Amino acid sequence: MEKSKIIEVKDLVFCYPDGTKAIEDISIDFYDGEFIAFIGTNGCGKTTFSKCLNGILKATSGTIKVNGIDVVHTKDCTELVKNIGYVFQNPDHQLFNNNIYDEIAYAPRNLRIPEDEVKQRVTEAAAIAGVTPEVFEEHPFFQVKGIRQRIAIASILSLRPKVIIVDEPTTGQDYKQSIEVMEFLKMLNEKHGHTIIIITHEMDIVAEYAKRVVVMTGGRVLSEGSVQEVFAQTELLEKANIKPPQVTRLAQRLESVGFDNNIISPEKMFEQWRQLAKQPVGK
Amino acid sequence: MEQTRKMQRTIIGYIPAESPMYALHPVARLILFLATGLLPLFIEAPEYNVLFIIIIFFMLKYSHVNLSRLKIFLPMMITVGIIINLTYFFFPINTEEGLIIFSIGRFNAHFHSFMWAMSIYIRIIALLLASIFYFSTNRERDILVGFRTLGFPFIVSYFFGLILRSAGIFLEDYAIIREAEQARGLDVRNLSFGGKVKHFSMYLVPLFTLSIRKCEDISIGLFSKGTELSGKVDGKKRPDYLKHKMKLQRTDKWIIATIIAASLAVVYFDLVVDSFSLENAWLYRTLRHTWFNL
Repeated sequence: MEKSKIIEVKDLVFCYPDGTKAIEDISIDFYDGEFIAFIGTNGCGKTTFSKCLNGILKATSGTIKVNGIDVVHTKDCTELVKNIGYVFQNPDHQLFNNNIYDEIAYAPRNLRIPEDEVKQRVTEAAAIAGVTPEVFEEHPFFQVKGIRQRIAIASILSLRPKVIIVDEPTTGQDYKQSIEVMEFLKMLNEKHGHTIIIITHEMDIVAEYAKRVVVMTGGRVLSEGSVQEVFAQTELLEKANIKPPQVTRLAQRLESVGFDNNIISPEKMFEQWRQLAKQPVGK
Repeated sequence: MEQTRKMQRTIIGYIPAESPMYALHPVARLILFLATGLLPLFIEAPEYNVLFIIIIFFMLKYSHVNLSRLKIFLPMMITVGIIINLTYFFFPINTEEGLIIFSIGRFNAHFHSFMWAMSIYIRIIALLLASIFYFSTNRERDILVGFRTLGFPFIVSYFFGLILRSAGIFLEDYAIIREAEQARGLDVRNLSFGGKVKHFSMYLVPLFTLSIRKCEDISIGLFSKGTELSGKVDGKKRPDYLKHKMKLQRTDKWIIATIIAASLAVVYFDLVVDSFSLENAWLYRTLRHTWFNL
Protein backbone atom coordinates (compact mmCIF):
# COMPACT_ATOMS: atom_id res chain seq x y z
CA MET A 1 0.00 0.00 0.00
CA GLU A 2 1.36 3.41 -0.96
CA LYS A 3 1.97 5.73 1.97
CA SER A 4 0.59 9.25 1.91
CA LYS A 5 2.78 12.34 1.89
CA ILE A 6 2.89 14.07 5.27
CA ILE A 7 5.49 16.74 4.51
CA GLU A 8 6.13 18.32 1.10
CA VAL A 9 9.07 20.70 0.70
CA LYS A 10 9.66 22.58 -2.55
CA ASP A 11 12.53 24.94 -3.44
CA LEU A 12 13.11 25.85 0.21
CA VAL A 13 15.57 28.67 0.92
CA PHE A 14 16.34 30.11 4.34
CA CYS A 15 18.65 33.03 5.19
CA TYR A 16 19.61 34.07 8.73
CA PRO A 17 19.53 37.78 9.70
CA ASP A 18 23.33 37.95 9.33
CA GLY A 19 22.88 37.10 5.64
CA THR A 20 24.06 33.48 5.86
CA LYS A 21 22.14 31.29 3.45
CA ALA A 22 21.58 28.26 5.67
CA ILE A 23 19.22 26.33 3.39
CA GLU A 24 19.49 26.29 -0.38
CA ASP A 25 16.85 24.94 -2.75
CA ILE A 26 15.73 21.87 -0.86
CA SER A 27 12.90 19.87 -2.40
CA ILE A 28 11.96 16.64 -0.65
CA ASP A 29 8.89 14.71 0.51
CA PHE A 30 8.36 12.72 3.70
CA TYR A 31 5.73 10.02 4.12
CA ASP A 32 3.37 9.02 6.89
CA GLY A 33 4.90 6.58 9.39
CA GLU A 34 8.53 6.98 8.30
CA PHE A 35 11.50 6.98 10.69
CA ILE A 36 13.94 9.46 9.20
CA ALA A 37 17.42 10.58 10.26
CA PHE A 38 19.00 13.87 9.20
CA ILE A 39 22.77 13.50 9.18
CA GLY A 40 25.62 15.85 8.32
CA THR A 41 28.41 17.86 9.89
CA ASN A 42 27.80 20.71 12.34
CA GLY A 43 26.47 23.80 10.57
CA CYS A 44 25.22 21.89 7.51
CA GLY A 45 21.65 23.10 8.10
CA LYS A 46 19.97 20.07 9.74
CA THR A 47 18.50 21.98 12.68
CA THR A 48 17.61 25.01 10.58
CA PHE A 49 15.83 22.79 8.07
CA SER A 50 13.85 20.99 10.77
CA LYS A 51 12.91 24.30 12.45
CA CYS A 52 11.62 25.49 9.06
CA LEU A 53 9.50 22.33 8.82
CA ASN A 54 7.47 23.22 11.89
CA GLY A 55 7.38 26.96 11.29
CA ILE A 56 9.69 28.05 14.13
CA LEU A 57 11.83 29.63 11.42
CA LYS A 58 10.00 31.22 8.52
CA ALA A 59 11.41 30.20 5.16
CA THR A 60 12.85 33.00 3.02
CA SER A 61 11.33 31.42 -0.09
CA GLY A 62 9.85 28.14 -1.25
CA THR A 63 6.95 26.12 0.12
CA ILE A 64 6.47 23.63 2.95
CA LYS A 65 3.24 21.75 3.46
CA VAL A 66 2.64 19.63 6.54
CA ASN A 67 -0.47 17.50 6.23
CA GLY A 68 -1.76 20.09 3.74
CA ILE A 69 -1.03 23.14 5.93
CA ASP A 70 1.07 25.85 4.30
CA VAL A 71 3.77 26.27 6.95
CA VAL A 72 5.41 29.30 5.34
CA HIS A 73 2.31 31.46 5.15
CA THR A 74 0.17 30.26 8.05
CA LYS A 75 -0.19 32.79 10.86
CA ASP A 76 -1.95 30.37 13.19
CA CYS A 77 0.66 28.16 14.81
CA THR A 78 -1.95 26.16 16.76
CA GLU A 79 -3.10 24.14 13.72
CA LEU A 80 0.50 23.48 12.81
CA VAL A 81 1.58 22.16 16.22
CA LYS A 82 -1.25 19.63 16.15
CA ASN A 83 0.49 18.11 13.14
CA ILE A 84 4.19 18.57 13.83
CA GLY A 85 6.04 18.71 17.17
CA TYR A 86 9.63 19.68 17.85
CA VAL A 87 11.72 18.44 20.76
CA PHE A 88 14.72 20.69 21.34
CA GLN A 89 18.22 19.37 21.92
CA ASN A 90 18.47 20.78 25.44
CA PRO A 91 15.40 19.91 27.54
CA ASP A 92 16.15 22.87 29.84
CA HIS A 93 15.07 25.26 27.09
CA GLN A 94 11.55 23.87 26.97
CA LEU A 95 10.62 23.28 30.60
CA PHE A 96 9.12 26.35 32.24
CA ASN A 97 6.33 25.18 34.50
CA ASN A 98 6.52 24.55 38.22
CA ASN A 99 5.47 20.93 38.11
CA ILE A 100 5.59 18.05 35.66
CA TYR A 101 1.81 17.80 35.22
CA ASP A 102 1.50 21.46 34.17
CA GLU A 103 4.49 21.04 31.90
CA ILE A 104 2.86 18.19 29.96
CA ALA A 105 -0.53 19.97 30.06
CA TYR A 106 0.93 23.28 28.83
CA ALA A 107 0.61 22.68 25.08
CA PRO A 108 -2.98 21.28 25.07
CA ARG A 109 -4.04 24.19 27.30
CA ASN A 110 -2.56 26.58 24.71
CA LEU A 111 -4.89 24.96 22.20
CA ARG A 112 -7.87 25.70 24.52
CA ILE A 113 -8.66 22.01 24.90
CA PRO A 114 -11.19 21.28 27.68
CA GLU A 115 -9.54 20.40 31.01
CA ASP A 116 -11.03 16.86 31.08
CA GLU A 117 -9.38 16.05 27.79
CA VAL A 118 -6.16 17.76 28.90
CA LYS A 119 -6.03 15.39 31.88
CA GLN A 120 -6.58 12.42 29.61
CA ARG A 121 -3.84 13.58 27.25
CA VAL A 122 -1.37 14.20 30.09
CA THR A 123 -1.97 10.73 31.53
CA GLU A 124 -1.61 9.15 28.09
CA ALA A 125 1.54 11.13 27.10
CA ALA A 126 3.19 10.54 30.48
CA ALA A 127 2.46 6.81 30.29
CA ILE A 128 3.95 6.54 26.80
CA ALA A 129 6.99 8.58 27.86
CA GLY A 130 7.47 6.53 31.02
CA VAL A 131 6.79 9.40 33.41
CA THR A 132 4.95 8.03 36.41
CA PRO A 133 2.01 9.99 38.01
CA GLU A 134 3.83 9.88 41.38
CA VAL A 135 6.26 12.57 40.14
CA PHE A 136 3.58 14.83 38.58
CA GLU A 137 3.84 17.36 41.43
CA GLU A 138 7.63 17.56 41.31
CA HIS A 139 9.55 20.37 39.61
CA PRO A 140 10.78 19.29 36.14
CA PHE A 141 14.14 21.05 36.61
CA PHE A 142 15.13 18.82 39.52
CA GLN A 143 14.93 15.57 37.54
CA VAL A 144 17.95 13.85 35.95
CA LYS A 145 18.64 14.67 32.30
CA GLY A 146 17.15 11.44 30.93
CA ILE A 147 13.86 12.15 32.72
CA ARG A 148 13.90 15.82 31.69
CA GLN A 149 14.28 14.63 28.09
CA ARG A 150 11.29 12.31 28.54
CA ILE A 151 9.21 15.11 30.06
CA ALA A 152 10.13 17.30 27.09
CA ILE A 153 9.00 14.57 24.70
CA ALA A 154 5.81 13.94 26.74
CA SER A 155 5.02 17.67 26.62
CA ILE A 156 5.03 17.41 22.81
CA LEU A 157 3.22 14.03 22.74
CA SER A 158 0.29 15.60 24.59
CA LEU A 159 -0.35 17.56 21.38
CA ARG A 160 -0.73 14.21 19.58
CA PRO A 161 1.21 15.45 16.54
CA LYS A 162 1.50 13.24 13.48
CA VAL A 163 5.19 14.13 13.06
CA ILE A 164 7.73 14.46 15.86
CA ILE A 165 11.14 16.00 15.22
CA VAL A 166 13.76 15.22 17.88
CA ASP A 167 16.98 17.23 17.78
CA GLU A 168 19.94 15.07 18.86
CA PRO A 169 17.99 12.73 21.17
CA THR A 170 21.06 10.93 22.49
CA THR A 171 23.50 13.81 23.05
CA GLY A 172 25.06 13.80 26.51
CA GLN A 173 23.45 10.50 27.45
CA ASP A 174 25.15 7.23 28.29
CA TYR A 175 24.61 4.06 26.25
CA LYS A 176 21.72 2.82 28.42
CA GLN A 177 19.88 6.15 28.33
CA SER A 178 20.49 6.49 24.58
CA ILE A 179 19.02 3.07 23.89
CA GLU A 180 16.03 3.84 26.14
CA VAL A 181 15.27 7.08 24.27
CA MET A 182 15.68 5.44 20.88
CA GLU A 183 13.55 2.42 21.81
CA PHE A 184 10.94 4.87 23.02
CA LEU A 185 10.99 6.72 19.66
CA LYS A 186 10.83 3.37 17.84
CA MET A 187 7.77 2.44 19.88
CA LEU A 188 6.12 5.78 19.01
CA ASN A 189 6.82 5.07 15.36
CA GLU A 190 5.83 1.42 15.20
CA LYS A 191 3.06 1.20 17.79
CA HIS A 192 1.50 4.65 17.66
CA GLY A 193 2.19 5.46 14.02
CA HIS A 194 4.02 8.76 14.55
CA THR A 195 6.37 9.89 11.81
CA ILE A 196 9.73 10.41 13.53
CA ILE A 197 12.54 12.66 12.33
CA ILE A 198 15.78 12.61 14.31
CA ILE A 199 18.81 14.84 13.89
CA THR A 200 21.93 12.99 14.90
CA HIS A 201 25.67 12.48 14.50
CA GLU A 202 25.61 8.90 15.74
CA MET A 203 25.75 6.56 12.78
CA ASP A 204 25.24 3.42 14.85
CA ILE A 205 21.92 4.85 16.04
CA VAL A 206 20.98 5.72 12.44
CA ALA A 207 21.89 2.21 11.25
CA GLU A 208 19.86 0.57 14.00
CA TYR A 209 16.72 2.69 14.09
CA ALA A 210 16.22 4.84 10.98
CA LYS A 211 14.48 3.58 7.87
CA ARG A 212 15.42 6.53 5.70
CA VAL A 213 18.42 8.88 5.80
CA VAL A 214 18.83 12.44 4.53
CA VAL A 215 22.47 13.52 4.14
CA MET A 216 22.97 17.29 4.29
CA THR A 217 25.95 19.45 3.48
CA GLY A 218 26.25 23.22 2.99
CA GLY A 219 22.50 23.76 3.37
CA ARG A 220 21.62 21.25 0.64
CA VAL A 221 20.43 17.65 0.55
CA LEU A 222 23.41 15.71 -0.78
CA SER A 223 21.70 12.35 -0.82
CA GLU A 224 18.68 10.54 0.58
CA GLY A 225 17.35 7.02 0.60
CA SER A 226 17.21 3.90 2.71
CA VAL A 227 19.96 3.43 5.29
CA GLN A 228 21.58 0.66 3.20
CA GLU A 229 21.50 2.77 0.03
CA VAL A 230 23.04 5.82 1.68
CA PHE A 231 25.75 4.00 3.63
CA ALA A 232 26.82 2.16 0.46
CA GLN A 233 27.76 5.52 -1.17
CA THR A 234 31.29 5.69 0.23
CA GLU A 235 32.60 8.58 -1.87
CA LEU A 236 29.54 10.69 -1.29
CA LEU A 237 29.70 10.18 2.47
CA GLU A 238 33.37 11.15 2.46
CA LYS A 239 32.39 14.38 0.68
CA ALA A 240 29.99 15.10 3.56
CA ASN A 241 32.64 14.11 6.15
CA ILE A 242 30.49 11.25 7.42
CA LYS A 243 31.82 7.85 8.40
CA PRO A 244 29.36 4.97 8.18
CA PRO A 245 29.23 2.51 11.12
CA GLN A 246 32.30 0.29 11.61
CA VAL A 247 30.47 -2.83 10.50
CA THR A 248 29.55 -1.17 7.17
CA ARG A 249 33.14 -0.05 6.64
CA LEU A 250 34.38 -3.56 7.39
CA ALA A 251 31.92 -5.02 4.90
CA GLN A 252 33.04 -2.48 2.30
CA ARG A 253 36.69 -3.51 2.84
CA LEU A 254 35.65 -7.16 2.36
CA GLU A 255 33.59 -6.48 -0.76
CA SER A 256 36.23 -8.21 -2.91
CA VAL A 257 35.64 -11.49 -1.08
CA GLY A 258 31.91 -11.36 -1.60
CA PHE A 259 30.42 -9.22 1.17
CA ASP A 260 27.75 -6.64 0.28
CA ASN A 261 28.84 -3.01 0.73
CA ASN A 262 25.61 -1.97 2.43
CA ILE A 263 25.61 -4.12 5.54
CA ILE A 264 24.52 -2.05 8.53
CA SER A 265 24.31 -4.53 11.39
CA PRO A 266 26.63 -7.14 12.92
CA GLU A 267 23.81 -9.70 12.66
CA LYS A 268 23.57 -9.21 8.90
CA MET A 269 27.37 -9.37 8.61
CA PHE A 270 27.46 -12.65 10.53
CA GLU A 271 24.64 -14.09 8.45
CA GLN A 272 26.46 -13.23 5.22
CA TRP A 273 29.72 -14.63 6.57
CA ARG A 274 27.96 -17.93 7.29
CA GLN A 275 26.54 -18.02 3.77
CA LEU A 276 29.93 -17.28 2.26
CA ALA A 277 31.58 -19.90 4.46
CA LYS A 278 29.17 -22.56 3.14
CA GLN A 279 30.15 -21.85 -0.46
CA PRO A 280 32.90 -24.03 -1.95
CA VAL A 281 36.30 -22.31 -2.15
CA GLY A 282 36.84 -20.53 -5.46
CA LYS A 283 33.14 -19.72 -6.09
CA MET B 1 27.44 28.55 3.87
CA GLU B 2 26.81 31.15 1.22
CA GLN B 3 26.45 34.78 2.28
CA THR B 4 23.91 37.17 0.85
CA ARG B 5 24.27 40.72 2.23
CA LYS B 6 27.07 40.45 4.80
CA MET B 7 25.78 41.41 8.23
CA GLN B 8 27.77 41.91 11.39
CA ARG B 9 26.38 40.57 14.63
CA THR B 10 26.45 43.11 17.43
CA ILE B 11 25.45 42.88 21.09
CA ILE B 12 21.72 43.40 20.40
CA GLY B 13 21.26 42.79 16.69
CA TYR B 14 22.81 42.89 13.28
CA ILE B 15 24.06 45.72 11.12
CA PRO B 16 25.53 45.55 7.61
CA ALA B 17 29.27 44.92 7.66
CA GLU B 18 29.77 48.06 5.55
CA SER B 19 28.10 50.29 8.17
CA PRO B 20 29.98 53.63 8.48
CA MET B 21 30.38 52.97 12.21
CA TYR B 22 32.99 50.31 11.42
CA ALA B 23 35.23 52.97 9.90
CA LEU B 24 35.67 54.40 13.40
CA HIS B 25 38.07 53.07 16.04
CA PRO B 26 36.27 51.44 19.01
CA VAL B 27 37.52 54.14 21.37
CA ALA B 28 35.92 56.86 19.19
CA ARG B 29 32.64 54.95 19.34
CA LEU B 30 32.95 54.52 23.12
CA ILE B 31 33.54 58.25 23.62
CA LEU B 32 30.60 59.03 21.33
CA PHE B 33 28.44 56.78 23.52
CA LEU B 34 29.67 58.34 26.75
CA ALA B 35 28.95 61.81 25.37
CA THR B 36 25.48 61.00 23.98
CA GLY B 37 24.61 59.01 27.09
CA LEU B 38 25.96 61.27 29.81
CA LEU B 39 25.47 64.79 28.44
CA PRO B 40 21.65 64.63 28.67
CA LEU B 41 22.13 64.15 32.43
CA PHE B 42 23.62 67.67 32.61
CA ILE B 43 20.74 69.15 30.64
CA GLU B 44 17.39 69.77 32.33
CA ALA B 45 15.73 71.68 29.47
CA PRO B 46 13.54 69.11 27.63
CA GLU B 47 13.91 70.74 24.21
CA TYR B 48 17.70 70.24 24.13
CA ASN B 49 17.33 66.60 25.11
CA VAL B 50 14.69 66.12 22.42
CA LEU B 51 17.34 67.49 20.05
CA PHE B 52 19.72 64.84 21.41
CA ILE B 53 17.12 62.15 20.75
CA ILE B 54 16.71 63.37 17.16
CA ILE B 55 20.51 63.28 16.68
CA ILE B 56 20.63 59.71 18.02
CA PHE B 57 17.85 58.71 15.60
CA PHE B 58 19.91 60.16 12.74
CA MET B 59 22.95 58.22 13.95
CA LEU B 60 20.90 54.99 14.11
CA LYS B 61 19.70 55.58 10.55
CA TYR B 62 23.19 56.55 9.31
CA SER B 63 24.66 53.37 10.84
CA HIS B 64 22.03 51.20 9.07
CA VAL B 65 20.52 49.95 12.33
CA ASN B 66 17.13 48.32 11.74
CA LEU B 67 14.81 50.89 13.35
CA SER B 68 11.91 48.43 13.56
CA ARG B 69 13.85 46.67 16.34
CA LEU B 70 13.17 49.70 18.55
CA LYS B 71 9.61 48.37 18.91
CA ILE B 72 10.78 45.83 21.48
CA PHE B 73 11.87 48.68 23.76
CA LEU B 74 8.49 50.45 23.56
CA PRO B 75 6.87 48.63 26.53
CA MET B 76 9.88 49.58 28.67
CA MET B 77 9.73 53.23 27.54
CA ILE B 78 6.00 53.43 28.28
CA THR B 79 6.37 51.74 31.68
CA VAL B 80 9.19 54.10 32.71
CA GLY B 81 7.04 57.10 31.65
CA ILE B 82 4.07 55.91 33.70
CA ILE B 83 6.18 55.23 36.80
CA ILE B 84 7.97 58.61 36.69
CA ASN B 85 4.75 60.59 36.16
CA LEU B 86 2.90 58.72 38.90
CA THR B 87 5.82 59.23 41.29
CA TYR B 88 5.87 63.00 40.73
CA PHE B 89 2.05 63.15 40.89
CA PHE B 90 1.82 61.44 44.27
CA PHE B 91 5.10 62.86 45.67
CA PRO B 92 5.30 66.32 44.09
CA ILE B 93 8.21 68.74 44.49
CA ASN B 94 8.26 72.58 44.69
CA THR B 95 4.57 72.84 45.57
CA GLU B 96 4.87 76.26 47.23
CA GLU B 97 4.22 78.05 43.92
CA GLY B 98 0.70 76.59 43.97
CA LEU B 99 0.51 76.16 40.19
CA ILE B 100 -1.89 73.24 39.79
CA ILE B 101 -2.69 71.75 36.37
CA PHE B 102 -5.47 69.41 37.56
CA SER B 103 -6.61 67.52 40.67
CA ILE B 104 -7.75 63.97 41.37
CA GLY B 105 -9.32 63.71 44.81
CA ARG B 106 -6.90 65.21 47.29
CA PHE B 107 -3.95 64.82 44.93
CA ASN B 108 -2.87 67.78 42.79
CA ALA B 109 -0.79 67.71 39.62
CA HIS B 110 1.68 70.54 40.28
CA PHE B 111 3.15 72.32 37.27
CA HIS B 112 6.78 72.21 38.40
CA SER B 113 6.54 68.54 39.34
CA PHE B 114 4.96 67.75 35.97
CA MET B 115 7.74 69.57 34.11
CA TRP B 116 10.42 67.94 36.24
CA ALA B 117 8.94 64.47 35.51
CA MET B 118 8.97 65.33 31.80
CA SER B 119 12.59 66.51 32.00
CA ILE B 120 13.74 63.33 33.78
CA TYR B 121 11.78 61.09 31.42
CA ILE B 122 13.29 62.66 28.29
CA ARG B 123 16.78 62.40 29.81
CA ILE B 124 16.24 58.69 30.50
CA ILE B 125 14.92 58.11 26.98
CA ALA B 126 17.97 59.91 25.54
CA LEU B 127 20.26 57.72 27.67
CA LEU B 128 18.35 54.58 26.68
CA LEU B 129 18.50 55.41 22.96
CA ALA B 130 22.22 56.20 23.23
CA SER B 131 22.73 52.77 24.83
CA ILE B 132 20.64 51.07 22.13
CA PHE B 133 22.71 52.87 19.50
CA TYR B 134 25.98 51.80 21.09
CA PHE B 135 25.04 48.16 21.68
CA SER B 136 23.45 47.91 18.21
CA THR B 137 26.63 49.05 16.49
CA ASN B 138 29.33 47.33 18.55
CA ARG B 139 30.52 43.83 19.18
CA GLU B 140 31.91 42.59 22.50
CA ARG B 141 35.49 42.88 21.18
CA ASP B 142 34.96 46.51 20.03
CA ILE B 143 33.82 47.47 23.52
CA LEU B 144 36.76 45.73 25.18
CA VAL B 145 39.28 47.35 22.81
CA GLY B 146 37.69 50.71 23.63
CA PHE B 147 38.06 50.05 27.35
CA ARG B 148 41.66 48.85 27.06
CA THR B 149 42.69 51.76 24.82
CA LEU B 150 41.26 54.22 27.31
CA GLY B 151 43.47 52.59 29.94
CA PHE B 152 40.84 50.80 32.01
CA PRO B 153 42.50 48.11 34.19
CA PHE B 154 42.45 44.57 32.80
CA ILE B 155 40.17 43.33 35.59
CA VAL B 156 37.50 45.96 34.76
CA SER B 157 37.46 45.22 31.04
CA TYR B 158 37.57 41.46 31.69
CA PHE B 159 34.55 41.57 34.00
CA PHE B 160 32.71 43.84 31.60
CA GLY B 161 33.48 41.36 28.81
CA LEU B 162 32.05 38.50 30.87
CA ILE B 163 28.91 40.55 31.58
CA LEU B 164 28.44 41.25 27.87
CA ARG B 165 28.98 37.61 27.01
CA SER B 166 26.44 36.56 29.64
CA ALA B 167 23.97 39.07 28.20
CA GLY B 168 24.51 37.53 24.76
CA ILE B 169 24.02 33.97 26.09
CA PHE B 170 20.94 35.13 28.04
CA LEU B 171 19.37 36.63 24.90
CA GLU B 172 20.19 33.49 22.90
CA ASP B 173 18.56 31.26 25.54
CA TYR B 174 15.58 33.61 25.62
CA ALA B 175 15.14 33.26 21.84
CA ILE B 176 15.29 29.43 22.05
CA ILE B 177 12.77 29.37 24.92
CA ARG B 178 10.39 31.49 22.87
CA GLU B 179 10.83 29.09 19.95
CA ALA B 180 10.06 26.20 22.34
CA GLU B 181 6.86 27.95 23.43
CA GLN B 182 5.87 28.50 19.82
CA ALA B 183 6.51 24.78 19.16
CA ARG B 184 3.94 24.07 21.87
CA GLY B 185 1.23 26.18 20.33
CA LEU B 186 1.68 29.53 22.04
CA ASP B 187 1.65 32.55 19.77
CA VAL B 188 2.83 35.42 21.97
CA ARG B 189 1.65 38.00 19.40
CA ASN B 190 -1.97 37.09 20.15
CA LEU B 191 -1.59 37.59 23.92
CA SER B 192 -2.79 40.62 25.83
CA PHE B 193 -0.23 42.85 27.60
CA GLY B 194 -1.04 41.09 30.92
CA GLY B 195 -0.64 37.70 29.26
CA LYS B 196 2.76 38.72 27.88
CA VAL B 197 3.92 39.84 31.34
CA LYS B 198 2.72 36.53 32.84
CA HIS B 199 4.53 34.53 30.20
CA PHE B 200 7.68 36.58 30.62
CA SER B 201 7.70 35.61 34.29
CA MET B 202 7.48 31.95 33.19
CA TYR B 203 10.64 32.36 31.11
CA LEU B 204 12.53 33.41 34.22
CA VAL B 205 12.61 29.86 35.62
CA PRO B 206 14.58 28.29 32.74
CA LEU B 207 16.54 31.48 32.05
CA PHE B 208 17.90 31.81 35.57
CA THR B 209 18.52 28.09 35.95
CA LEU B 210 20.46 28.04 32.69
CA SER B 211 22.36 31.20 33.68
CA ILE B 212 23.37 29.74 37.04
CA ARG B 213 24.53 26.50 35.38
CA LYS B 214 26.53 28.48 32.80
CA CYS B 215 28.06 30.79 35.44
CA GLU B 216 29.36 27.73 37.22
CA ASP B 217 30.77 26.38 33.93
CA ILE B 218 32.51 29.71 33.22
CA SER B 219 34.04 29.92 36.70
CA ILE B 220 35.30 26.32 36.45
CA GLY B 221 36.66 27.13 32.97
CA LEU B 222 38.53 30.18 34.28
CA PHE B 223 39.90 28.21 37.22
CA SER B 224 41.07 25.34 35.00
CA LYS B 225 42.96 27.80 32.78
CA GLY B 226 44.71 29.28 35.81
CA THR B 227 43.23 32.72 35.13
CA GLU B 228 44.83 35.54 37.12
CA LEU B 229 42.83 38.73 37.31
CA SER B 230 45.81 40.97 36.82
CA GLY B 231 47.06 43.23 34.05
CA LYS B 232 50.44 41.50 34.27
CA VAL B 233 51.54 37.95 33.48
CA ASP B 234 54.79 36.78 35.10
CA GLY B 235 55.55 40.38 36.04
CA LYS B 236 55.28 41.60 32.42
CA LYS B 237 52.49 43.67 30.90
CA ARG B 238 49.71 41.44 29.57
CA PRO B 239 49.83 41.30 25.73
CA ASP B 240 46.69 42.57 24.00
CA TYR B 241 46.25 41.27 20.46
CA LEU B 242 43.19 43.29 19.43
CA LYS B 243 44.45 46.54 20.93
CA HIS B 244 47.67 46.06 18.99
CA LYS B 245 45.76 45.35 15.77
CA MET B 246 43.46 48.40 15.86
CA LYS B 247 45.12 51.81 15.63
CA LEU B 248 43.58 55.24 16.06
CA GLN B 249 43.42 57.10 12.73
CA ARG B 250 43.48 60.85 12.17
CA THR B 251 39.66 60.92 11.65
CA ASP B 252 39.18 59.15 14.98
CA LYS B 253 41.37 61.72 16.74
CA TRP B 254 39.41 64.59 15.20
CA ILE B 255 36.09 63.05 16.18
CA ILE B 256 37.28 62.41 19.75
CA ALA B 257 38.59 65.98 20.04
CA THR B 258 35.30 67.41 18.71
CA ILE B 259 33.21 65.31 21.11
CA ILE B 260 35.37 66.28 24.09
CA ALA B 261 35.21 69.99 23.13
CA ALA B 262 31.42 69.83 22.70
CA SER B 263 31.05 68.02 26.03
CA LEU B 264 33.19 70.58 27.86
CA ALA B 265 31.11 73.37 26.29
CA VAL B 266 27.87 71.74 27.52
CA VAL B 267 29.28 71.30 31.03
CA TYR B 268 30.50 74.94 31.04
CA PHE B 269 27.16 76.34 29.86
CA ASP B 270 25.33 74.18 32.38
CA LEU B 271 27.45 74.79 35.46
CA VAL B 272 28.66 78.35 34.85
CA VAL B 273 26.05 80.06 32.66
CA ASP B 274 23.09 77.90 33.78
CA SER B 275 21.77 77.75 30.21
CA PHE B 276 20.19 74.30 30.48
CA SER B 277 18.19 74.60 33.73
CA LEU B 278 14.53 73.65 33.68
CA GLU B 279 13.34 77.10 34.77
CA ASN B 280 15.19 78.72 31.86
CA ALA B 281 13.87 76.22 29.33
CA TRP B 282 11.78 77.60 26.48
CA LEU B 283 9.16 74.85 26.87
CA TYR B 284 8.87 75.47 30.63
CA ARG B 285 8.38 79.22 30.18
CA THR B 286 5.95 78.79 27.26
CA LEU B 287 3.71 76.28 29.07
CA ARG B 288 3.81 78.36 32.27
CA HIS B 289 2.70 81.37 30.31
CA THR B 290 0.03 79.46 28.35
CA TRP B 291 -1.53 77.67 31.35
CA PHE B 292 -1.12 80.26 34.11
CA ASN B 293 -0.44 83.49 32.22
CA LEU B 294 2.73 84.05 34.25
